[in-house]
Amino acid sequence: MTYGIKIARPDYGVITAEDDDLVYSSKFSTLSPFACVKFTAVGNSTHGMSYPPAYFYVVDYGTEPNNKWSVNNPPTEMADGMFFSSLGQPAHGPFFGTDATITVDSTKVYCDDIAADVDAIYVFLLHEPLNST
Amino acid sequence: MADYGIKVTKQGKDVSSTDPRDFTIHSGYNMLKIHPDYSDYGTVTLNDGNSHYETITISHNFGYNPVFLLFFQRGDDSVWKIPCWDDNTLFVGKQYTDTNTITVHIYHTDPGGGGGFHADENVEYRYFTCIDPRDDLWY
Repeated sequence: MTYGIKIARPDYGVITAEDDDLVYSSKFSTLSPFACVKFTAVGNSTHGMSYPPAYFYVVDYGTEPNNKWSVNNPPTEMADGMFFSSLGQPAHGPFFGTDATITVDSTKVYCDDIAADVDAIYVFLLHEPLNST
Repeated sequence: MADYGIKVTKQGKDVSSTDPRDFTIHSGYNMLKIHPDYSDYGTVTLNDGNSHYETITISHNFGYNPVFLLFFQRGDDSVWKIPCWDDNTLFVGKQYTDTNTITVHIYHTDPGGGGGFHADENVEYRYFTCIDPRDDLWY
């Protein structure tokens, strides 16, 4: 028997809505955070899980430049061999920079690098494990 | 259709609140949902016999670009990272090749064309593909 919970987005019927028109479906796991760790300097923090958790982070640049925030600011590959830095500027090869280096293992979350113009980094640790064991 | 839905508040908050931060579930707001069929683990082996990068292809056939998260762990490293240029010896990048395919490239050399291959290694990866579209993600 198929059973579970579905919640449709406003103005959609829960019976007929496609999966991407659902607010929630027990068919899918959700990206739920269990902790937020703030770094203002290089360091580490024990997260309390027995596995390396998935994560994302937000960089707070303070009042400069223009009260901007950035998410997971390493560059994204837009096409073969072409990369864009976190602030949307074309970057190529080793010439782009990142403003933070955040990593996790089965005991801690690490901030190994933080740029001088960064006020704080907020790391959201999610329940989903990264390892397969 | 009538305006109805489900709200679940955090402890100590009132369900009549208009502040979305007070809710763990609110049917007026989307939650990112991981599609298990397109979320997986894997390992690639990088060595001199390979191209300058290895390719991981995720064919989801959604017909739109979904929210996608990727992490990797190098064979000689104990920590997991998000896509980045790592230690000038490895670059992990992702593309939305088309609306049905996500492509991950793991470069074993300078993707700008300089330098040669770096030391052989295995790279583990973990990705999460959400059913939710990246563009026009409703709130």
